Amino acid sequence: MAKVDIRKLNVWFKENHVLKDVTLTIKENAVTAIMGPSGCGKSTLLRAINRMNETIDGCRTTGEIYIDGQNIYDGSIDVYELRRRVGMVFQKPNPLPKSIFENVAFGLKIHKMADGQKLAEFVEKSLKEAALWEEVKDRLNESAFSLSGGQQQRLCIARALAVNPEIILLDEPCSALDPIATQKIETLIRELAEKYTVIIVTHNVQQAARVSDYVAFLYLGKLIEYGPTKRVFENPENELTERYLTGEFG
Amino acid sequence: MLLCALLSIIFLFLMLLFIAREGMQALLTFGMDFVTGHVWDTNLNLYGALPLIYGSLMVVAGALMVAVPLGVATAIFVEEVLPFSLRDLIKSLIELLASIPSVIYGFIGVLFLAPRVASIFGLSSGTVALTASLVLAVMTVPTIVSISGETIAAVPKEYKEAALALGATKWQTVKDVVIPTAKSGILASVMLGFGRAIGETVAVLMVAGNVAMIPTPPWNFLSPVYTLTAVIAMQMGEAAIGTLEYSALFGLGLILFIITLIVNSLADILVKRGVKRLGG
Repeated sequence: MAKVDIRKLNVWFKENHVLKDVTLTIKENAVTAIMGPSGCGKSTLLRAINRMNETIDGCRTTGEIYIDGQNIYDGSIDVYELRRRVGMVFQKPNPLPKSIFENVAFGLKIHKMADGQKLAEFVEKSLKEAALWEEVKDRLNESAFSLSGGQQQRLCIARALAVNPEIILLDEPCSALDPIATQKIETLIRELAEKYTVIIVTHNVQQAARVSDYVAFLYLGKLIEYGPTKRVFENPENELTERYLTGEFG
Repeated sequence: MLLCALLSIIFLFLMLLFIAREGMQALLTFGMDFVTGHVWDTNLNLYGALPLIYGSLMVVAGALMVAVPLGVATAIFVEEVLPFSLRDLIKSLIELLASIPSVIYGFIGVLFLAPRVASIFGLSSGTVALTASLVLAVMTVPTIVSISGETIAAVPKEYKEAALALGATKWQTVKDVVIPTAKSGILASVMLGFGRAIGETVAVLMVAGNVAMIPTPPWNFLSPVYTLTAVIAMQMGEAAIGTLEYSALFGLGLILFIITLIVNSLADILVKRGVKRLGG
């Protein structure tokens, strides 16, 4: 079933036309990977889905993105509620300079979703979902910076899960991590897809093949090819896709 | 480099030594009464600095009560709300405030502020603690804005994005992420503002009224006060070298020196602790 429906999306940063007429339908409870060489606009496409692009000066967007049939670029949309529903994990782990507990509790507090005992329960549940609970349960009050890079990234995932989102956006979540930490995150991504709609940006073709059900290939701001991962990798329809997958450029 | 560092330490030490030596006569004559005594009277040759210490601290406290909220709010506005293109212009305009000679502030205080304070509160004279605090507040704001602005600007973009992506509003992001992260720098800016305000002389002596008495009640900002700096500046010219009065003025200098030293060290410790917390 379609969860996110992107129609004729165009994004400019000042004079720079970053995304050109991108139309794409993303399935519910599946992992969709957006891949392409750097500078092709894949992060911008991801950040269009929770309207984070507009926090940058000089950004202009046309077109529509429907989530469950509702256009998120409609004037009546509450952008803060949208960002609660559409969680995001960044390229570099970015825990806040607070304790492990407070990091996960942050979103719950700003949305006034829980306090007291309830808050502690939600935090525990989110950390378990992000496969981090066992490693941090005895040190919840320590600084988030005391965690390793991979743990920090899973903390950021837990923080996004805490506010009960429907969609999780991951922007090259493993690019700053070692292979073992990367593997843990990839396993986690597969598990998350059972409950959430997961969209991951990656410049790593193998990663896209490993974790995704559907893959979109973006080049110079245009959607070149989109389909089930297996089909795209085994039998790409577009010559550019084939050349990218075989490592001719990227 | 090392030589320069050593030189400045030696210089600081010599200065302290010099002031202490000159002030020794008064300190030995009055003992602790020099700090706790209530009467500062040249005619009686009695020198108790308490009203002056109180006057200085009162005027500065009043100034900070106005300057800290104003300065921190301005810094947040400049760094977080203003569009990039306007930021530098506004910042340099605020810093321009710091370059205006303090006599000019004194003039504005005497000619503009004092009459208004007098008419609003029905006083015979507007040169009171409140006027001095307001003048000092305007003079302290640039320090607070530029130092706390710097630490606010240094809050990593990643922190703000983390909060925004969770659905925090701009204000929640500032309140729950930016201010806590920049807290130590903001505190340091307040300390430095304190140092700037307590050392200010000319502008204060022009508008504070210069009466060496603790106001009744002590929080009455509509009373005239005399500050440490103002007393030194006013009496130094008349005091004959070697007299008790001359020595007492140096004693005041020593008190001022110690107060600023303590506040600066506190600021230093706070900044270092903040840096460590962020880094680790």
